[in-house]
Amino acid sequence: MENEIVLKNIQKYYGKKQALKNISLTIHQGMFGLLGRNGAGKTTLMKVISTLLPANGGTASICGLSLKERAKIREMIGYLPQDFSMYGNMKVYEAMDYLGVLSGLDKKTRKQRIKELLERVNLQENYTTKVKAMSGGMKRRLGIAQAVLHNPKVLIVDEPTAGLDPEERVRFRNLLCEIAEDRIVILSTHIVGDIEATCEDIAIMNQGEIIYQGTVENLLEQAKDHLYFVEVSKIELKEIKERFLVTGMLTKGTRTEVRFISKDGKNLPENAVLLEPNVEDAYMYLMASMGNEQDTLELLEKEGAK
Amino acid sequence: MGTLFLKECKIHIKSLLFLVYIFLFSLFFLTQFWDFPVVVKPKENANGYGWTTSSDPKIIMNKTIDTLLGEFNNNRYRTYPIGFYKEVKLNEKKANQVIEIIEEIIGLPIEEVETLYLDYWNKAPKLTGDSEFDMANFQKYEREHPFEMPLAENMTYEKFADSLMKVDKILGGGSYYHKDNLQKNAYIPMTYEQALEEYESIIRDDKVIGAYARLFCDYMGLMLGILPVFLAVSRELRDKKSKAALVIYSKKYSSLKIVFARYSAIFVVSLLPVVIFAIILLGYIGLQADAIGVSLDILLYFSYLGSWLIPTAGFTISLGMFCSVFTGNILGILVQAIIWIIAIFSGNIEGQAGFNFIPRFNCFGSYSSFKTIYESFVTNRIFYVIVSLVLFFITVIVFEQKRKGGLEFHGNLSSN
Repeated sequence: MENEIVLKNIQKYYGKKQALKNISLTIHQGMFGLLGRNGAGKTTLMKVISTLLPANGGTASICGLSLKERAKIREMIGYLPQDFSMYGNMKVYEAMDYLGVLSGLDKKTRKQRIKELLERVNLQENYTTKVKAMSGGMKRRLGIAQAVLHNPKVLIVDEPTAGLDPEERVRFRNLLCEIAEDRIVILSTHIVGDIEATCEDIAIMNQGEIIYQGTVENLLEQAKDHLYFVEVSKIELKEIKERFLVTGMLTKGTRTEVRFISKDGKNLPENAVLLEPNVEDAYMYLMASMGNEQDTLELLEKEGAK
Repeated sequence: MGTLFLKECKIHIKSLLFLVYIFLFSLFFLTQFWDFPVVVKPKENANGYGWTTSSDPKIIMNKTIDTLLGEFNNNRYRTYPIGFYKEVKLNEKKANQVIEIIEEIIGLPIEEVETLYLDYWNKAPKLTGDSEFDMANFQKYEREHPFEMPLAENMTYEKFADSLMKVDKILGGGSYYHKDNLQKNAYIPMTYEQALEEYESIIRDDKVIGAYARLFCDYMGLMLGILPVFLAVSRELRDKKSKAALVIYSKKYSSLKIVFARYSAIFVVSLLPVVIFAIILLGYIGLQADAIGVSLDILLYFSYLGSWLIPTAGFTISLGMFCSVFTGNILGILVQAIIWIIAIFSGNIEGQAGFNFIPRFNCFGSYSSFKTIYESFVTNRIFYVIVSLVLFFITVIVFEQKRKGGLEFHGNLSSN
């Protein structure tokens, strides 16, 4: 069986609103990052691949299976939704065991796999902890453990690190990378740092469309020679903000260090120097070059608020 | 699938809701249990032997006229137009229409009718405050001086029933004057012979256990007609509340297996208190039967329980599951509550099946009476088994549709 996901012109409508616009993607084994702001259509696409939503058009091959073969696809995918939880009164082991039964695992396999996985996600001390007593990070780890319980070929994780503290986030990313060694893992997120730390192949979605597909390296390449650094006063900062897309600021006393994007490199402030872009800069450059500067600024503000 | 079934049972049994369920069931059973009758051979020359309804058209007509004149004099008519009790007071115009009907039935002017009616009741024994004495005294008076109102010439039962249907219409329907309800007016004191025959029938036809089984089923049916819906609805809402739905939907198990495991688990835990109380009651019946020298027919007992209660519980759970899976909210409880209220307030509680999903037979013994509704009872039970199965399979289809996002407007599947 092929070990790749191929989507061709996938479309999805909610009433008259088109949530997915002719999505075409090829996803190979390993970590694949799907980046995009909230509302870009990532969750919808994840659900279509997981057969939890029907596509209104296009074709898809999930490791050689069409989307109509729902039962077979469900057998080989593991899904961790954005707001994963289980019944509050269930203990960790019970929750895993319940979901293991739904995955069609026999008792012996369940016992063995649950033990292994709870150790792997560092929940081995929490067999009898009730789900309602778990922290957000613990729930996510339980979520990832249940998603790989039946050893799926494809793992789909939707916004897994949202709301986690930095330490939990790093631990979770590492866990995903380990899991991705022998399967396809699709990581959907709006947090650029998650992608930067884990994925080589990525796609970026905006308003239901794929606006970039390729490697992180290529994305960085596109932004090269467009990212600058300058140190300015507060008065100059206002002008910079009006003329350029600012991707980062650090205030030091009366001066502010500013990272900004210039598409054409013209009319730069004095002392502006070129910088090597990171993924976040490249992402912002891409969004800006797609003609979404205003949206991008709003996004920046939102991201800053997080 | 057995493993999932057991896990589903555990989910319910460990829930607070199930504790409340057991508590309500226990409370209801215990309050009714103390009123369960004792099988005693009637003694001759006792003060009274209880009441029965007559199927004699003459008695029905007399008793109905008696009831009508009583309600007419007070201008307070009992009706159940949509299953709920409603007292009707008539205006002058409508009261005059009733007078015309009474005069047509009896063939005398209303003044003379009233005189005859009041004469009879003025001679009846007055209440002393001792309810047992009053009852016995009154039964004796009724036996010796049954109420008899002369009827118009050529007044057949059919004509009588037709005339009273007009009264029912004036009252807005659901009254004791509807042709289907006329026999309910014909309450008469039981004679010693009738009481003895009833006693013998309990031993001969019901083997004691059957009489208790019917009464038990009547009470338990009332509870199974409403309480399991809470378990059924809560099961679906549990997925939604705990945000477990999407993960469950994404798993390999088929919708048929998931819904069946859930359905059967609710079914089993719903019937758990019934089985426990049935066993407790069986001990009590055993003592009764032993005293009379009748051996217990356990098979008969559980045949009654199974055929009577399984369709009721099945329907309640099916409807609850269907509504909650389809809507994702508590609509199932509201729908079931409405159906339940209509069911318990409509029809004759002392023997009625029809299409009521809670068949009633709130009397001890009366085997001959049960036989008269037996066919209708069997049809009713089969009907509800079929309806339950249909609802179950529709629920499976709806569940599968939700799993693949086919009913996305009901869930939160559109968030991204």
